[in-house]
Amino acid sequence: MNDNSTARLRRSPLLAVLLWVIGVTLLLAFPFIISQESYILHVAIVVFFNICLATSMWLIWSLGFVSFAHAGFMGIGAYTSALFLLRLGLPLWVGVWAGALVGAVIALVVSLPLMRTRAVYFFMASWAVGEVIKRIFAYYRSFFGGWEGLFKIMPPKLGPIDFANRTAYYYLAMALMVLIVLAVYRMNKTRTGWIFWSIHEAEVLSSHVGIHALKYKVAAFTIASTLAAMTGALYAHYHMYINPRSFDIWASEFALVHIIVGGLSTVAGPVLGATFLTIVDELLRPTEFYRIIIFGVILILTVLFLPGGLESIPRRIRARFWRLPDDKENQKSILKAFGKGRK
Amino acid sequence: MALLDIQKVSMHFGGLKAIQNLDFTLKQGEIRGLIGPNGAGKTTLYNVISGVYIPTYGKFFFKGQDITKLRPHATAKLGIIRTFQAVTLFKHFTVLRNVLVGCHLNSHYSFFGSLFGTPGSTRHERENEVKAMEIIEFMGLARYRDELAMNLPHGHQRALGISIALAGQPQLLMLDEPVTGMNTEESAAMMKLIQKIRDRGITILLIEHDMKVVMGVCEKITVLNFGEKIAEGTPEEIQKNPDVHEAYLGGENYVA
Amino acid sequence: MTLQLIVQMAITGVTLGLIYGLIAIGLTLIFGVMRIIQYAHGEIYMLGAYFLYYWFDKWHLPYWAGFVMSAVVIFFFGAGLQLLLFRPLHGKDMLYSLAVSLALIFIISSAGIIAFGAVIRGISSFVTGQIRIAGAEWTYERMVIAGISLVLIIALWFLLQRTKIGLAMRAVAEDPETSSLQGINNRRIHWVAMGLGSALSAMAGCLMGTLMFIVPSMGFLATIKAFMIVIMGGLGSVPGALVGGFVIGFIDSFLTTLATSELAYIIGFVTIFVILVFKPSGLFGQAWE
Repeated sequence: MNDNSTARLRRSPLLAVLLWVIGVTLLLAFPFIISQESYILHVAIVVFFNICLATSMWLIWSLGFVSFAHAGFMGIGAYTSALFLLRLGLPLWVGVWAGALVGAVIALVVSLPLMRTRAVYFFMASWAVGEVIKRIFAYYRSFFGGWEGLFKIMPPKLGPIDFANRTAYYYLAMALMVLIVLAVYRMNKTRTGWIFWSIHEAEVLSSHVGIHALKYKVAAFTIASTLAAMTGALYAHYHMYINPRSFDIWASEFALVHIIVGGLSTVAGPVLGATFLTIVDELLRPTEFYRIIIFGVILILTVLFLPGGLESIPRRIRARFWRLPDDKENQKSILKAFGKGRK
Repeated sequence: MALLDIQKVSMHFGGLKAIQNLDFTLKQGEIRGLIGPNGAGKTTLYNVISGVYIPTYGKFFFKGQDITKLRPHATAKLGIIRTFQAVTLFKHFTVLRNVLVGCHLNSHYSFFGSLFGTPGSTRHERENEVKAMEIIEFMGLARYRDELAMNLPHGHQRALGISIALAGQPQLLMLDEPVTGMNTEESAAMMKLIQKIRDRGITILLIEHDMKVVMGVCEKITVLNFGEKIAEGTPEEIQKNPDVHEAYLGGENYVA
Repeated sequence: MTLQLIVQMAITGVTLGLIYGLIAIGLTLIFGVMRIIQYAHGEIYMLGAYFLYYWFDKWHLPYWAGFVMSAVVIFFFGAGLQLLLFRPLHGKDMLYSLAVSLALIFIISSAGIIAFGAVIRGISSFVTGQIRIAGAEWTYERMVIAGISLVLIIALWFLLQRTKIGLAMRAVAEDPETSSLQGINNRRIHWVAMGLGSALSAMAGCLMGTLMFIVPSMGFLATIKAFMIVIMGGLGSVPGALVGGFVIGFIDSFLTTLATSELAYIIGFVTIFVILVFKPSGLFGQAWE
């Protein structure tokens, strides 16, 4: 994150407000616009889950780390909530908080040693954590259902509303998505976010101004993993079936791809990336393995030709077609977008 | 009581003895120079004091408190702040933001306060901005307020580094080669600045190769070579000291 | 726990250890010289194996010619990847090289499944017969494979320590700026190192494919193991990669015979985690930033 992102929005507040109002209305009215078409609702729900996962992973990225254990924590939330229902008869409303708590505790315990590792070693260590989580689910067959997984994870009811109805679940998933995006956005925008980014930019310098890096790394990891766990709980009760493979490193990797393609600088990145790629994924579903190849190609093209991600497109369009603005700050940020600022 | 009291500190990296058995004290309000040829252990000493390294042997005290094992964020909290030889900034942040991060120590921060935007938290942020602008103006960087740090000319980047350090409200400011790459005018301005900082009550330790600056602004100078202290005294004494002459071998570093 | 069983496991351990050493040395070479994360290293291994499979089993051309051709083709493939994809990322955040190599995994493994079919095959043996030691069977094939691996590793050592280009590679790995100031063409060293590392991986794939089996998804498992080894032995350390290879080879051999492989994985990953936490630079590596 840098100061340019907020400067852009400041320029036309009326337009921004208008866009937001339209966007929110569309989001709320969406199920009725599409006449509650079941398949499209399903895709929308999957989009919401992917946004949740990518956005929470992005929080960890803002500190400078990529956690390959992230989907594992989604799994922890999913399995906890599922087991609360299957073994204790408690619905999602309890399960999601139980999942969040279990996820938070495990994340805290794991991150204390984990966040001491650096750079490429962190990636491997988080990978190890993710693998262990997945394999523990697979190994303890009697408790977790092994590789076959758990079935009949029924969605809850709330008074007259039965969340087995896809439209109802759409709003539930949307609520979680909004909660997570707002929370991450807010954290990032305020002092906490600047602390995270300062650790990301120059950890040595930030320690020397009194920032206890480890404390913040543990906090970010724990919060992000807890959000992933909550996503997992909702995921479990929606699909009604989970198995360990849903939460392995591939799932974390797809979340990472969402972030990279969407953009790394602001919270808009994971949101855009997850939305765009989930839709692309669905559209390409009939092509089976070709779809994964296309994913790879999109990722390479993004890294090589659009390093700022999807979120940098408005900025680039403005630079190309309008006059370069007079103030130096925006000029420099545009040059940076074209790769000249970075060394 | 000495502000900083270093007792028989040694720093060994495997076989390399970067600092050997160093005794060193600083009084409150001093401007002390720390000189020596390259590799003498000066920056290593900063790393030991600030807590990047934990010394192999020895202890050191700050205002009577044993800080030997404290890490950088803890020594910063106690009031010891340093700058870096290589330009170390938050490159993609603006000048203002850089200094604001530096203010972190001395401002209230509550996670939930900032998350929910409580009035108290908003007030603190505004106070910080005022404090930060004061430092930015003091350092002469006011017109670069919203410029990205990486776009600043070199001299201003160094000034920014010092600004960030000042924002932490240090009691002991350790400068590491602040005038590298500056011309005569800029160095003279830096010298005035160092004195102004000291006049605010901050003790200053200064590593520098530019002898004009060192002799001009330091009241006392400590000379290191191969990790050991070989001389200590006033600028006049140091200039006449034969061991110091020998250490610098031919006076290439002697810009006086 | 009979002597026969131990000897059998030891033989397998040595053979696997040498092959894993090859892959790991390739990876550590790539990382050491270029500081990029080549996450798709295992996919290269898979491609090498399939090349030999088509060459030997499908087109019925001589085995060892195929082995060499596989190495050569993959050498240029790796060099090409470096020039096209990784070179533009030079100096940027490691995340980008991770992203690009991740994309390569997607592309290569999916293309592999489409092209080769998701069936398990094997490269036929090039020689039959075995000897017996303490009741355990040591096939000539395994002997040759172990021997070839050893020869390759020694040849690589020779290349790195005694030739000019090896020296250049080591120089770039240690200090790229000074190296280029000294007149070393860093760009060329980069693609040579990438080609070489990939070739080693391909050859390991050929050998493993002959020893065991091939399947398009074999790449990912190899990647996991290669990274485990390299992290354990220290990034950029060739002896570390070799020692690590043996450790993993033996663990593989013993654990899969004695314990369920599920538990083996869990133990393995927990160990990796513990190693990384306590010895952040790996067992032999030096701290770098």
